[in-house]
Amino acid sequence: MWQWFHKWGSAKWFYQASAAWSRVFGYFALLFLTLGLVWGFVFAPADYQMNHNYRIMYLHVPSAMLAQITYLLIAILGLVNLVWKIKITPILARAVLPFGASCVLLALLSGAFWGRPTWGTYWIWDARLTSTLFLFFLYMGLWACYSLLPASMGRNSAYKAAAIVAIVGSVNIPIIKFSVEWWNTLHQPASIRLTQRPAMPASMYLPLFASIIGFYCLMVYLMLKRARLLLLEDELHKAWVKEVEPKLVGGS
Amino acid sequence: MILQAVNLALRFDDWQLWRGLSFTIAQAELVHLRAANGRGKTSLLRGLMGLNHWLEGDVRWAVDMQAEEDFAAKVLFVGHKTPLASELSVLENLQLLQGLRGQVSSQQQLAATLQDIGLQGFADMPAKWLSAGQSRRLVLSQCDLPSLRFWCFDEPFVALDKMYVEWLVAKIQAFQLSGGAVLFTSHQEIPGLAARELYLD
Amino acid sequence: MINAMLRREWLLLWRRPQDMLQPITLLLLLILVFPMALDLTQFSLPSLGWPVLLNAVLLSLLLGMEQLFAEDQRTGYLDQVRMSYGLYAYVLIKLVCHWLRVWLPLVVVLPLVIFFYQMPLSALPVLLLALSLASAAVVVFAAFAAALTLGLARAGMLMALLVLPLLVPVLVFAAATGQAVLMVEPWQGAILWLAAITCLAWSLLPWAISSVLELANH
Repeated sequence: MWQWFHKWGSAKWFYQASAAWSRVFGYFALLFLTLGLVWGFVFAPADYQMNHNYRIMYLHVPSAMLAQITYLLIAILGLVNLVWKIKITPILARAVLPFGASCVLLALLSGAFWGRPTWGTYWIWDARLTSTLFLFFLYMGLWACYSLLPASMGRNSAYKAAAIVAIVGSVNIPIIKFSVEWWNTLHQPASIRLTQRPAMPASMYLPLFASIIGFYCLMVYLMLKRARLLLLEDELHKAWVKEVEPKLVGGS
Repeated sequence: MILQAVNLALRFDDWQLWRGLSFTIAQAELVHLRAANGRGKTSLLRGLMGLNHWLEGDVRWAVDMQAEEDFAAKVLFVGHKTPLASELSVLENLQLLQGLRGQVSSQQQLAATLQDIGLQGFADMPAKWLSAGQSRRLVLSQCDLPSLRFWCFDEPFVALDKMYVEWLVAKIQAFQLSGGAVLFTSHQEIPGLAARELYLD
Repeated sequence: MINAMLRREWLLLWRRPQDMLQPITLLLLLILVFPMALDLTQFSLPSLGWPVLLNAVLLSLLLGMEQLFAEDQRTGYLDQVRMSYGLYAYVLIKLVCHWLRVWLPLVVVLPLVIFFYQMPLSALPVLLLALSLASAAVVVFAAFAAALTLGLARAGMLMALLVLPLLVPVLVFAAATGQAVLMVEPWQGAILWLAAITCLAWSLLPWAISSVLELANH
């Protein structure tokens, strides 16, 4: 157990091991996304209410899910960094951030294009849409922390400060959701609602599952890929970098 | 013994400044810390004061100085900065500086302190109108607090004129005689201070 | 030691009147300029007053708040605090005094808003309570952002980006309280949620603020 923990403290070990993992997750992402999206967009049956419009669900649902889960992941990685001081966790958190922010954007955009034919408008001040919009700004704030704070407090302190921001943000996400729902019930006429859908047939939800798994794999793949680059950038002048990547002329 | 530093290493982010530094400061000892610019003298002093983290190593304080309130009462740190609130008066700032160490002085004592540092008659003036030398004297005046056992001064002679350099030297010598220890940095050579020299490299 | 810190912040509260007047001047101007953008035949002023006030509070309290810890860091006072009593007590004292700094002028401004926006005076007590809770929450969140951006040039924009999304619940429940009061409906539910959020923020964030200040000063 402790040995396993200890390994995560070693940047070199992570850099070497993650090459293979990222490849595995990359192939899985390709497989499941192709399966889910092709099945969903081409072969799944049309919906009796929404016809073909519902197919955007195969992008919208996974991206909306991953948008929230990625923020939670960043907060958990931050907590691990603060408590156990494992060096690689802030780099993983920083690496997965653009994926999470992109998921929020994708969820908002796909939601808009789904909303247009369904509700007749690209944007409504619905509780879910609104809280997703604020989630986007939480991501942007965190991103700004990672890129600006190293200048004022040094990189290691900046990573810890950003971890605290992520934890504060993740405590706030449910409160923001709850408050927006409260506000929503106060102000919205009940007619515009995301409809409670009846149970979907397997031919509709199986591609959705495939697509969700594909998004998870894509997250891990992109996180590892980017973490490897960030790690090299952070540790450019360390001895292990010259050893592992002799072609990189580091620092000096 | 006042403090014992064991195998200290310091870094700023990824830049390691030095490692394997060990030294001891005994009672009634005067230590002059010397190093070239940018070698981390200030960082070492701040680290000893608990304001920086060490990469490695440990600082062991005398047993009766380890508790938080003991440390505040017995250790005086005067750095480059002058921790004065510019809108508060000289007297209020003096009271606050002493209050931070849990000390309350009578009006007579405060007046005597101001007299000692040549600020008599300025008690009600806002601290923002003090000159650099006057501010420094006000901060250094804390060294008279009777509970202190260790002074840690970063360039204490900067901005002081000749008269107050001698004043501070006399204070240091008197403190040493009473069993106190002083660790300081200084670019100037100060006549009359027989200090052990500690080199950083 | 706590006495000394408390006395310092209390004295500074009164010795720096510009810090008290600046945000409130902006607040007042925002509120008085806003109706100029409206066609008053189409909008009812009484229902706009409270939401406009809340949004103006969010913006104006952020103004200058990035300086909250800046001078104490520059002068080395933070170092002395860290060596004596630790940052947590310092942060709490600083927050309470800063909240007083913004709250006292708000007490004066609220009746003016009620007057200019033709709201019923009977709503004043509940609105004052909601405003007090909301401003306390804004202060503690903004102080968190101020600690984070300590030492950064042009911190104001980053502060807004960090703070405003986190303050959405405060805005929602404060606004709901005011709306309920003005419609003479039960307002207790909304204000209790507002109070809960403010209490949660005040119990957790001072700890986060002192950790960040600690990190920023290594």
